[in-house]
Amino acid sequence: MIDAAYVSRVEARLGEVLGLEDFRVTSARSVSSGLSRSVVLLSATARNLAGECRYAMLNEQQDSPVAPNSEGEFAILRALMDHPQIKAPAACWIERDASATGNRFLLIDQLPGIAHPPELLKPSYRDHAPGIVRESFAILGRLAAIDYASLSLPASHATPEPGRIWEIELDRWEQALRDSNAAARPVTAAAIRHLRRSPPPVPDRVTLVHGDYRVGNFLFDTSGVTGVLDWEMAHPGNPLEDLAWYFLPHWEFAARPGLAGGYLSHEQAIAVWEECSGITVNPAALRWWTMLCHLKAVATWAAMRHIFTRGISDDPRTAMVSYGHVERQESHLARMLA
Amino acid sequence: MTPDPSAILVSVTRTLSQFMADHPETAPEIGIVMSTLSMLAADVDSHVAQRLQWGQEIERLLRLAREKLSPSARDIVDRALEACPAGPADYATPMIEAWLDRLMNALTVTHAELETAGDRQLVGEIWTFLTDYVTTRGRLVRPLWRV
Repeated sequence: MIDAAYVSRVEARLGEVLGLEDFRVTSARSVSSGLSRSVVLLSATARNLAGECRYAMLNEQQDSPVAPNSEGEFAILRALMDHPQIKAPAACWIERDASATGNRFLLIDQLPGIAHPPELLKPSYRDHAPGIVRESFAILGRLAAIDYASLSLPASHATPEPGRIWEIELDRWEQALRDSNAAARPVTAAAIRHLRRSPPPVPDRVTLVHGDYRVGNFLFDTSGVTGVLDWEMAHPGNPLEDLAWYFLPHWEFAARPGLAGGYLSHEQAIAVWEECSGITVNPAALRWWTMLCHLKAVATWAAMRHIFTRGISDDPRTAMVSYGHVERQESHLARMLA
Repeated sequence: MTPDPSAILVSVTRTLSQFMADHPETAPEIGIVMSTLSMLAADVDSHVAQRLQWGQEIERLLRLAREKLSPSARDIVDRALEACPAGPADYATPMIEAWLDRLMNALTVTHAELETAGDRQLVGEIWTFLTDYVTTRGRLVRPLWRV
C-alpha cells in the first residue's frame, strides 16, 4: 500500500542508492501489473537533479506464486542501455534487500506512452497505428541485428552454441509443462515429439530474444513506439522465436484476424523485420518456432491453471487466463500437426 | 487439471464484491456483472454432460488400443479405465475433470506407442477425437484483444 510511511522509506532508500540529495517523491501511484510484481510509478525531484524525474518500481510480491526474474532483467536492461534503438527502459537500480522499503524491486526509467492495445484501433490512432505497428517490427529486427556475444552481460548469460538453441528452448518448456503436471496431454506431447524429430535449421548467430514481444508489451503514443517493456523472459536464442510469438493468434484483435498488431499481414511484418535485422526468414524455421511458441503458450497458461487448481493462488486472473486458453493453443498445434 | 468453473466463479465474485465495496459508485455495473455470473453458474452443470461424452469416447479408444500396447502402457490404461465414474455422486465437475485428466494421461501414452508402432488407423481415430476435443474447449476463448 502506498502511504506516507512507504513514500518516506522509498525517498530515503532511493536518495541513498542513486546518490540524489534531498530526494522527494512528488507523486506515487500503483498501476495494473502481473502476478509476480506490482508496479509503482514515481515522480520525484532532488537537489542535484535538473527537473522532475520519473521512475517505475517493479516490486516483487512476497507471496507471489510466480518467481520474477528481476536479476536477469536487470542485466539485460543494463546491457541494452548501449543500444538506444531498442527503446528499452534504462535500469537504475536493483534492490536485493527487502527490508529497505518492504520489497525487493527493480527500478527503471518511466517511459512516456501507453501500452493498452485496443487504443491502436481507436479513431484517435487511425493515422498513426499502422506506423506504430511497423515500427514495433523494425525494433524487433534491430534487436535481432545485435550480436548477442557483443552485449556486456554477466557469465550467467553465456552464449550457447547456435545449433543447440532449439533444444535448450524445447527442454525449457517441456520441463515447465512437467512442473505444472501438463506434459501428459496428448496433443502437447505429440507436438514435443514432432519438434524433437524435426529440428529447425541452425541460425547464423545467437541473438537476444525478448521472450514476450507483442502488442501490450510496448509503449506508444502518436509519435510512434516509445518503449519496449517486460524483459523478464529475455534470453539468448533464435530471433524467429520473437517473430513467431508476436504472430500468435492469441495476440490478435478479434475483429482483425491474421493481422499482426491489427494492421500488418505476416508478409508485411516479415519484410520490415528482414530489412532491419539483415536476416532472411526461413519459412521452415519460422514454422518450427511457431509450434514452439504455441507450446510455450500452453506451458505458460498451464502454469496458471496449476496455480489455481492446486489452491496456490485464488487470483481470478490465474483462472481466467487458463480456462480454455490451453486447449485453444492445442487446437492450433493440432492443426499444424495434422 | 482444468479449473473447476464453480471455483473460478467464487473467486471472481469475491474479487468483484471487494471492488464494489471499495468503489461504491460502480455498484450498478458490477451488480449486472455479478448477475451474469450467477447465470453462468447455473449453466455449469450442462458442461458435465459434454465431459462425460468426451470421457466415454476416450474409454472406447483406450479399449480399442489396449491389446496393442506394451505391458507398462496397458497397466496405465487399465488403471485409468478402473477409475470411471461410479454414478451420479461422481458427476460433480471437479470429479469429472479429474477423471478426464486420468484418461488423457493414458491416451497420451497410448497415442505415443501407437504412433511409434505405425498404427495409422487407430492413431488417425485418436487424432480426430483430439482435434475435436481441443477445438471445442478452445472455442471458449477468443483472441485476447476483443475489439
